[in-house]
This record gives sequence, C-alpha cells and structure tokens, in this order.
Amino acid sequence: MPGFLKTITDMLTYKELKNKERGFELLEDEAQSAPQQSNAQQQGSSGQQNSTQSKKNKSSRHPLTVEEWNGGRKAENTEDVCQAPDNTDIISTELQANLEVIRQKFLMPKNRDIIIREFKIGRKIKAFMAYIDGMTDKQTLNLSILPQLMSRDVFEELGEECPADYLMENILAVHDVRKTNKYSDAVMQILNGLSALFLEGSGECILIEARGFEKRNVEAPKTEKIVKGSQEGFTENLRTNVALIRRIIKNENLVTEMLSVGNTNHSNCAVMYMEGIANPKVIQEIKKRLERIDAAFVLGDGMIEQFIEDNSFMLFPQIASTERPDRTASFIMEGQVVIIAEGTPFALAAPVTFFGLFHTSEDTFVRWPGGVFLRLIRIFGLFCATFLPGLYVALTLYHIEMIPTELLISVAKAKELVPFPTLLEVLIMEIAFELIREGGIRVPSVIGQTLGIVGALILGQAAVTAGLVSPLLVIVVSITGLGSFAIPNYTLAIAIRIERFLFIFAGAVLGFYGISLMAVLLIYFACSMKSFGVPYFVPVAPKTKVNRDVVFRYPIWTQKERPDALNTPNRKRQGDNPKHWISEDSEEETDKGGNT
Amino acid sequence: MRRLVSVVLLLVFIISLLTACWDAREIDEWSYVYIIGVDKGVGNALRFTFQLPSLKHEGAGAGGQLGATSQYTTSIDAPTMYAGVNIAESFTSRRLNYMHTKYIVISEDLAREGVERFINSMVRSRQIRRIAHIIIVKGKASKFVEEFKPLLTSAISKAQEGFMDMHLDTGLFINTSYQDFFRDLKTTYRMPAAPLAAFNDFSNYRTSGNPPEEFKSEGDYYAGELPRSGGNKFEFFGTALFNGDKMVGELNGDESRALLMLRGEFNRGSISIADPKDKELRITIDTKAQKKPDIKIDFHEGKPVVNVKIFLEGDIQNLQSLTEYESLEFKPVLEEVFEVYIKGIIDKTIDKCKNLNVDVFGFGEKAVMHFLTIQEWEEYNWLSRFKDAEVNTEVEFAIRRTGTLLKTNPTRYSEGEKK
Amino acid sequence: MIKEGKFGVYEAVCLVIIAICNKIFSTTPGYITRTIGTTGWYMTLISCTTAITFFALIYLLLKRFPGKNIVEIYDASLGRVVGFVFSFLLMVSFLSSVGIYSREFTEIMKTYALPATPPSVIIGALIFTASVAVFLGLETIARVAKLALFPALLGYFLILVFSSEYFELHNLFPILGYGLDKTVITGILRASAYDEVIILAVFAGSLQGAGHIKKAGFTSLLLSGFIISLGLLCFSLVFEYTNIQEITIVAYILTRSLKYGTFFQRLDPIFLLLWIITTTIYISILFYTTVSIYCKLFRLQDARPVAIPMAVLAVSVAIIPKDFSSVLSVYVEGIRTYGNITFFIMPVIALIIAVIRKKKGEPECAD
Repeated sequence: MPGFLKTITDMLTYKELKNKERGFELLEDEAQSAPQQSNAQQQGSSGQQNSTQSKKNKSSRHPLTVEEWNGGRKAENTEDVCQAPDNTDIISTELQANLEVIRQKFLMPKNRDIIIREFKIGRKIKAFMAYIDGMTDKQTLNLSILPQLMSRDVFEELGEECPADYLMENILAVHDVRKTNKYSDAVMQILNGLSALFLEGSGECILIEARGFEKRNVEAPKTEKIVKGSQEGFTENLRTNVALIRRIIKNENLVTEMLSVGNTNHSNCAVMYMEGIANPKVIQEIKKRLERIDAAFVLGDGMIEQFIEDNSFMLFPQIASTERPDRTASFIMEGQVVIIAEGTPFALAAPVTFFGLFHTSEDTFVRWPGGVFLRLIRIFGLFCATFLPGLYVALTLYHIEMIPTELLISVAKAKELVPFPTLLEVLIMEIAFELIREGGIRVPSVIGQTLGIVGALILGQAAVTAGLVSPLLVIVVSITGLGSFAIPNYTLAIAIRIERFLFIFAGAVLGFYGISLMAVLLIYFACSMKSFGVPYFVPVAPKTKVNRDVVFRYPIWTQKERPDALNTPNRKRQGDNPKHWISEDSEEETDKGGNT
Repeated sequence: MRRLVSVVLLLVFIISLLTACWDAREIDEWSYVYIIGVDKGVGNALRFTFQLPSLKHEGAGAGGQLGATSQYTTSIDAPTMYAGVNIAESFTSRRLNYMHTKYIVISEDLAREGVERFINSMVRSRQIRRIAHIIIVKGKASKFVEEFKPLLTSAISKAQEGFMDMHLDTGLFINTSYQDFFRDLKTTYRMPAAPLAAFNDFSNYRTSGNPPEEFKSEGDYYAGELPRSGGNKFEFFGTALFNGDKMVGELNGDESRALLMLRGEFNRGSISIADPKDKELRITIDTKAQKKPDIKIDFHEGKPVVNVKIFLEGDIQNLQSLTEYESLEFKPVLEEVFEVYIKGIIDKTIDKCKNLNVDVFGFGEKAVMHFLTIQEWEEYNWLSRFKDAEVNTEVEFAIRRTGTLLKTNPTRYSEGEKK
Repeated sequence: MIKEGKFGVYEAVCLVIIAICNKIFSTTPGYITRTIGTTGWYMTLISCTTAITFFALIYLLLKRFPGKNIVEIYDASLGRVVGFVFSFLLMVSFLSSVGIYSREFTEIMKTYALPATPPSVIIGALIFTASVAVFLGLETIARVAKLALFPALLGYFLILVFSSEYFELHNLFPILGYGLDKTVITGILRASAYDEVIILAVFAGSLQGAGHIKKAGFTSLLLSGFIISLGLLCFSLVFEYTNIQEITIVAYILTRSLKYGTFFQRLDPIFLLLWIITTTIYISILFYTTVSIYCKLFRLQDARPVAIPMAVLAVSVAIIPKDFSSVLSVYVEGIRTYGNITFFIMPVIALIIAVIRKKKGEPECAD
C-alpha cells in the first residue's frame, strides 16, 4: 500500500531537473562560437551511465546509516585480500611461479581449453607456451615457431642482451611478436588467441601472433541486397571487417582505434574515422561513451548502440547500422565515425539524420534519374507503411464522403457478411501479418518458400471467403507490408511498424482529426531528437546549407560540399569543376586547330 | 508497483478505444440516398422521396460474385427534410446518409410556388453537398425517383453523372449544381435556371403519317415531347426559368442552347438548318464556342443597353445538297445563313426572358463593373430593369473543317446525273 | 529564466507565418464580408501595412534594449509594477486567443466532421498536443514549424489553383464594396489579425540580434499579407458577396465544391488533414508563448510544471462561451477589436515612456 501511494505521488509531484546540462551539443567552429554561446555546454553527460554517477552524488550528501558504515568497513577489509596490489601483476623471473600463476588464473585443471606446452629453448633454457586450443593456427606453431625454438643452435650468438629480445629479433620467424611484463596483459592476449611464451630467467613474456580459428567467408550481405554494386558484406571477425574498409579507403589518415567493451567478456571494438574530416569533438564523445559502458556482457553492435545512443525511448534510431563496407566507407568520407564490434557483421555510424536512413548505396551507383526514382518509391513506401491502415480506418468510419459512390456500395455489400467492426478487422489482419513475418524468419528453409505462398494467398483468400475480413482490407494490408519492406534501415522499419498501430488507434478514435494530432505529436518528438549533437531533421529543420542529397538526389557532380550539420573541419568533397574532362576536351580541339 | 498502475491505465485506455467511439459509424450502418425528390405534400407541407440501394446478396454465395444492386424508393410526407428523414428511420434499419446524393429533384408545381424554404434549409446540413444537381421535373418528383432505373448500367452514380454530362455534348439543357442555384437565388447579378426533366409516354412517336414540310430543328421540343420510342422513360430537355425562387417559364431545346451561348457555357452541339438553296435539304454543323461572348453594357438615361457578340465555330457534319459549300466561294453563304438562324433563336430567347423579366443570362455581371459601391448597385436594382433593356445581338460563325469529305459528287442514275 | 534555445531567421519567419495565416481557415473571412462586401482582399493589405508600421515601432523598442525580451523591456522602461501589469495583460491576451480559437475550431469540427463527439474531447486532445510542445522546448516548435510550413503552403496553393474553375471576375465588383471609408477603417481596426508577430518580441532572446528580428518580422508580415490577401481574393472570386456572408467557413466550403469529373469530387477531408496540422502547430506556438511569458514574469526556471495547469486553464477558457453564436459575435469580435491594444498599442506606449525616461539597455557582450 505505501508503495502504491508513493508511485502516485512520484508521478504527480515536481522533480527538479538533475541534469542542468543540455546534453552533448555539436557547435560550430570554436573560433566563432566560444565567446557567443552563453548557455552552451561543451561536454554533456552520456545517456545511460549518468544514473550511477548521480546516485553516488546523491548518496554522498546524505548522512551515512549504520549499515552503510559497516558495509564500507567490510569492503575495505576484503579489498586487501581480493585485489592484487600492483607488484603481483608483474611477471616473475621464475618459470615455476609463472606456471603456477597461469594455472591458477585459468582455473586449470578444470579448464581444458588452455594448453601449456613446456619445452626447452635451444636445449638449454626452460620455457613454456600457453595458448587456447582452437584459437591458434597449429600449422604456424608446428612449422614456424616450435622447430625454430627447439633447434640446437638457438643461443649460439646470444650476447649480453636479454634472451627475450634476442629471440624476438633473431629466432621467432613470425610476422607479429610483442612482449609484455604484466600478467593481466598476457592473460588478455591469450584469451584473444595469441600464444604466450614464458622464459626461465626473464621477467617478460613474448606474445606471438599465431591466430587461426574458424570464421565465415566474406559473402554477400544478407540484409542489404542491392542490384548494382559490390556484393561483399561484413563478417563476424573484426580484422576482416576493418581490412574490407581499408581496401576501399586507401588513405594514411584513416585511423582505427581499438577499445575493449564489456567488463567480463572483453569484446573488442574498433572506432574508425578519417583524421581531418571527422569532427574531433564527435570522436571524443563517442570514445568517451564507449569507454564508460559499465556492463558485464556486451556483444555486437546492437547492444553497443543501445548503450551509447542519446535517447532510448524514442522510436527512431539515432545511429545507423549497415552490413556493407562500401556504405560504411561513404559514411567515413562524409565525416561520420564508424564503430565496428566483434561478433556481428554490422557497423554503426554516428551521427545520423532521419533522411540519411533512407539512402542506400544503390542511389549512388545508379545513374541520376534512377537514383531519384528509387528514393521517391522508398518515401512513398514509408508513407504507405505508416499511414495507410490508419487512413483506411478513419476513412471508413468517419469520412465516407471521400470514397467514390460505387466503390462505397461494393465495399458495403462485401461488409454485410463480416461480423467484426472495422477496427478489430484491421487489427486482426495486421497482427496476422506481423506473425507471418516473425515466423517466416525462423521457418526452416525447406518449407520457407511455401510459407510465403501460404501466408499471402491462402490466408487472405480464406479469410475473405470465410467472411472474416473484407477484400479491400487485404489489399490495404498487403500494400502496407510491401511499403514497410521498402524501407532500407531495419531499425527504422521496426519503428514504423510500431507507429502504424498508433495511427490505427488514433484514426479509430477521432478519424482524420486523431491521425493529424498523432502525426503532429510524432513530428514533435522526432524534431526534438538529436543524434550526437546533430538535430535529427537537419537540413530541413533547422536550416543549414543546401545539401544536394536529402530527398532528391542531384547529379553526383553537383555535390561539392559535405553536409553542413556535421561541422566537419574539411568541407570540400569535390573541386569546383568535378567534370574536368569537359574543359580539357575543348582545349584539345583548339590545340588541334592551331597545329594543323 | 509503478508498472501495475501504468498497465491498468493502459488497459482502461485501450478498452475505451475498442468500443465504438462517438462518431465512428461502420459503413454498413448507413443507407446511402441516391436521389431526393421534393413534391407538394398532401398529408403535410412537403413530400420527400428517397431512393436507397438495397445491399442484399442475391443468388451467389458469400464471397462470390456480388449481384447487381437494386434500389427501392420510399415517399414520406413531412414538414421539412430532417423531419422526413426521422420518419424514414422508423422503418429502415439504418440511418440515412445523403453525402452521396447527386440529384435533388423538384416537381414543377412546387417550383412554381417557391423553392426557397427547403433550398435554404437543406444546405445547412453538413451532409448535403453543394455539387449535387438540381432538376425540375414535370409531373411528380416521386414518380421520377421511382422510375429512375438507368438501362445501360447498374452503377447508379455513374449514370447520374453521365446524364448530366450530356449537356456538354448537345447543349439542349443546362446543368445547375446546388451551389449555382443557391447562389443565383440570392445574388443581384442574375436569376436562377435549372434543367427540366419529364416523362415521355412515347405518344409523339407516331407510327404512320408524313414528316412536316417546314423545317423543324432538333431542339424545337419541350421536355416530354421528344418523338422517340424505347430508352429510359424520362428525358432531360430544356430549361426552367426562375424569378427568385418561383418558376415562371420554360425554354425548349433551342432556346436552352441560346441561353448557354449567352452565358458563355456552350460547349458543343449539332445545329441543323435548312439548306438556303433547296428548302427540303438539311445541313448540320458541329458547333462549338470559339471564345466567351463579348458583352458590353451602356446606360442610356438609366436604361441599360446591352451589346452582345457571340463567337461560334463549327465543323460540317452533314451536307445533303450538291452545292460545294466547302469551297471558299460558298462557305461565307453558309456561315451567314447560320448566323442569321442562330441570331433568330437568341433574339427569341431574349425576348421571352424580357417578357418574364428574368435575367438568366448574367448581363448583370457585366453591368456591375460600372458601379463603385454596393449601395449604388443595389439601389439601381438591375434585376428589375431587365425588361426595359435594349439588347443588340450579333453572331459570328466560322466554319473550320469539313469532316472527311472535301466535296460531294452527284449520284449517277441510269437516266444521267441528277441535276 | 527558462532555457530557450536559439533559432534563426528562417525558422522565425516560418513560426510567424503559421501563426498569422492560420486565420484564413476560420470564420473571419465570411464574417467580415458583412461590413466590407467584396473588398476583403485589399482590406487585408491595409491591415498588413498598419501592422508593419506598428512593428517598426516595436522594432525600435527592441533595438533600444538589445537582447532583452518584451517582459524585461516592460520592467525596465515602465518600472516593476506597471511592467508586471502590462506583461500580465499580454499573457492574458495570448491565453484567451488560445482558448477562443480552440473553441471556434472545435465548433467547426463538430459542424463538419465530428458531430457526435463531445467538444471537451476535441478541445482536450488539441490542448494536450500543444502542451507536449512545452515539454520539448522552443527549438522543437521552431523546427516543426519550418518542417510543416512548406507542405501546408503547397496544399493551400493547390486548393486555390484547383478552385480556379469557379473564378468569376465580376464577383469582385462593385470594387469599393460598401464604401471606401468602411474598408479603410475596418482595415486599420483589423490589424489585430497580424498581431502574432509580437511573439518575435517575446522570444527576442532566442533570435540572435536585432538585425535578425528586423528581417524576420518584416519578411513574415509581408509574406503573410500576401498569403492572406491571395486567399481572400480567391474566396471573393468564387463566391459573391451575398453568398459569402452566409457561410460559416468559406475555405472549407470551397474545398467541398471542387469537382473534376466523376472521380475527383468530395475531397475535402484531405483539406481537413492540412488544416488540423496547421491549427495544432498554431495553438502550440501560442500556448508556448503564454507559458513562456508566465515563467518570465515570475522568474521561474523550469517551464514544465506550468504546462499542465496552464492547459487546464486554456481548456476552461475555451468552454466558457455557451454556444457558437456568442463565440462568433462576442468573443472573436472582442479579440479582434481589442487585440490591437494589448499587442500593438502597449509596446508603443512602452517605447514612448522609455524615450521620455531615457532608459536604454546596455549592449550585451556578444551573446
């Protein structure tokens, strides 16, 4: 009972804004803006992680209770035992000690994944190599590393230097070796698949890059198919993905920074951007948000997106995700920052605007009239997917004057036999359609083909014959479904599918009035969104410099500047006369004329 | 706890949505009125007749081919239309909806008494559309509504529009929408006019006898007199003239054409005359308006002087004589004959209207440009001055094309060429 | 002071145009024809000119106190008490505009589209949507106004173009209507149709500098004058003066009469969509202005708790009139007649007194 009252009072009383800051703002060049903006904040607080900080702030102001005081003292005591002080992280020079530490850290002999291969280097120095079975390339180990290390004349020319250095420079014929003197680093790299070589008498361990595990080949992208363009898509392996992008952008300024996210699963995550084109503040903000993710398990770009996005409760996505390297490369060249995570074949790009979610690579690869036409079809698909069922409900319930008389009579006749009210009819059909969609993903491919036919034809036809729905509704629902398939971005398509239901309810309650009010509400929420400091509906609202690629795509040689809203340091994309061959031709002709 | 409260609120919200909201009416809760007929009532002030479609499924099973729509009509005596609708709803299972009403048919005797009462009241409803057509019918409007079963199609509304669109092809009757009629009732510029419909009992279709010797044009009939057999029982022909809200006169087909020409709304029509050289032969020209007529108005001691010039053009459709009217030599002759003929009809029409003192032509629209303020204009009261007006008409006719023949050669007989 | 974002000239112009031009869809075009007859289209140009002269004076006032909004200016030039009274009157005018326009809109919706729905539902939904805008901030409203203006204008011009089949030039004659004197006097008195331009003064802190205010104000007044005049011209061309006096909403009846062949008829619900969206944005703008003046008046930091009580107040104001006739003849007429005083005359008084008392604002360090 007191919980109930508290909930009600919580909802009704006024709470002061905890965040006095306005979130991350992407401003114009500092030279212009610094003295002018009086209420601008340079670094806002990130979205999700503020709660822990503010909780700490809050609790530090209250007087401590006895339990808290006791709890704090207990934590101090246990800290002494659990947390290893700094100097136990350094690798010892005794091989046996190292072996014990490694065995203990990996919970051996319980844990069968780790292999420890003990041997003598050059028949003289004791050493052992630790690696994870299944993540190393056995060929490399067997042919390039162990034979070299075990041969008799390894230490013939060993001078005063450290044996580890000698080995790295002269003996280990592998393409990538490093050394480290910390246990935590060595353990981390073993988990990443490297092989760690410990020597007797050396306080350092050599990390050998001999990785080889089963991974998927580069295949055509499964979710973003286009007709005229490259058919390579990302895979789950981070190195492959980054290499795919490097093959497209061959520029020394393309930077890849590696971060580790996830407290327990330590997943790797690459942040790629072009130095000199991407706005440094955006880069900083993204890195800051990634580093401050405080979760145990983070895998793949989907979870990362949910942790770092500005506003989780809005329906529209604020970060774009793509499966294609060519599209990712174009994002990088626009000035956006790309995040690639291990484990999923997708890349994230931020910041993104609403209109950017409609672009596919096909628009760029196809000639200009084709590009414009495809865009228009997609936008028409968007309208159909959002509004059509709602409009149908509003039209038939409230505004029958708009329907041509003959169509109205035939619809009325067909509806004589249907027992359900229109709203229920529409909901049944829409939910059935969503079920078909969701089930169709998991259907085994053997009967996958037939499900499409079954779902569409028989279900629709049977429903009409049984008198459950009217035939006009089947057409409306199928056009809606097709329209939602035309939306290129999957997250946006899901958002549109949800919104559709909102419009259906709004149309059923108040007709066109309800639909208009709901549309205005949605536009309000969408216009108040910002994606990493860039307002969501730029360049339409607010107005920035003309961008020739928003809805209509102007010919490629007119797009001379990068989008204004991203505030990139380098704005020019093309020279003043990108079709330079035009003036060259005329020069040649006059030359010829002069010569002959 | 918070979740529970939110869920309860959400459920309440959704449940309130799924019940029918105040204004939501399913399509099958309405009955759509096609035609409204208004008569003088016997049991009460007015008699209203509604034609409604019946949405029964006849024959074929559910979901199969839907049968043709049949209509049924009902007539009610009531003081106003809304009262009539209420009475009608006590014996129909659905509410009446007249958003799709295309015809509002008024009987002639009611029109002669005055239509103001119900025209003013019907437009106040949000369901009546101002693009509906107003039709005056000779006889009983209820009979018209009952007999309105178009023979060519079962799509009633298409047929309704189709009937009214025929005036664009022939010019033998005018087309008045509710908006036009309602405006002309109140306006100071001109008087209203409406198309006439009538029943044809096919009695003019004599099975024996000789055709008349004198030239009788195709428009020289009043509604209901067309010499025909077969087809729909009713026909649209001619115009009803109104003084304010009372019907005062009637125009036949030719005069309706003249009215349309003077209003600038004449689209096309096939006009026939007697051949000037041989009075037994006929010439027909497919006439169109070149441009809007040129109307100039002057005032002479307070009396208006109207100078009208009408521009027509045509293509020759039918030449029965051998005279080469297509040549440059004879074409002006033909044009002049046409001009005289059409001027004759126009003058006749204008005189008829002057005698009735109704300016249905809209000369007032041009006259108003001579006045500066509304008070002056309303003091002058153009509508009462039309009978004193002096109207000078002029027709300019140009024959443009001659069809697919350039010349008609004579028929050859065994006795030699016919002279 | 509540935190309001910044927006530029383009968005300010869009805001003001939506705020002013929404009136073309109300009952006013038909109602004023009783006094002026056929001359609506140039009477509104006279109103526009009057409004421009008043705005020039207001601009002078704003230039005198750079960077301050009208509440602060009233305080500075007239003193705390009188300034408070003036600002309060301004807020009351905006609130009554919101309430009475919502009521007018609701009555029209009930007449034409939703006859059986209780009016409180319609008003409530409208003001609820408007109050959401307060939670989202001024920048959002400016962006939405910009986004919505172009489709709205496009739809508006399409309607005018499609109705050209009914244009009759003679409907404009007699050219002077009921007399030139009546036209001019009504024009000057009705300059209150353009009084929403004062929102530029209320949000003067968000527009960067007096130059922006000048550009925004004059551009929006000229454009709205053109749009309203064009609309009234088309109305007069289609309906003549005896007819137009009878009609409740001229624009809606115009769309109802459009007919192109058998198929393109009865297409007025599309117009309804357009009209409801612009009305909602209009009410949001005015509602936000009311809340903003209130917060500035009482030096509140956060506008969000004010929104819901102010919405309740607006709904109550909307429900005050008993029936539609009193809405038209008493309340709307009252606002149009006395709107001049609060929106135009009061800033001019403040300007005169500021000049007399030699009050000037300090030029702010580049903001």
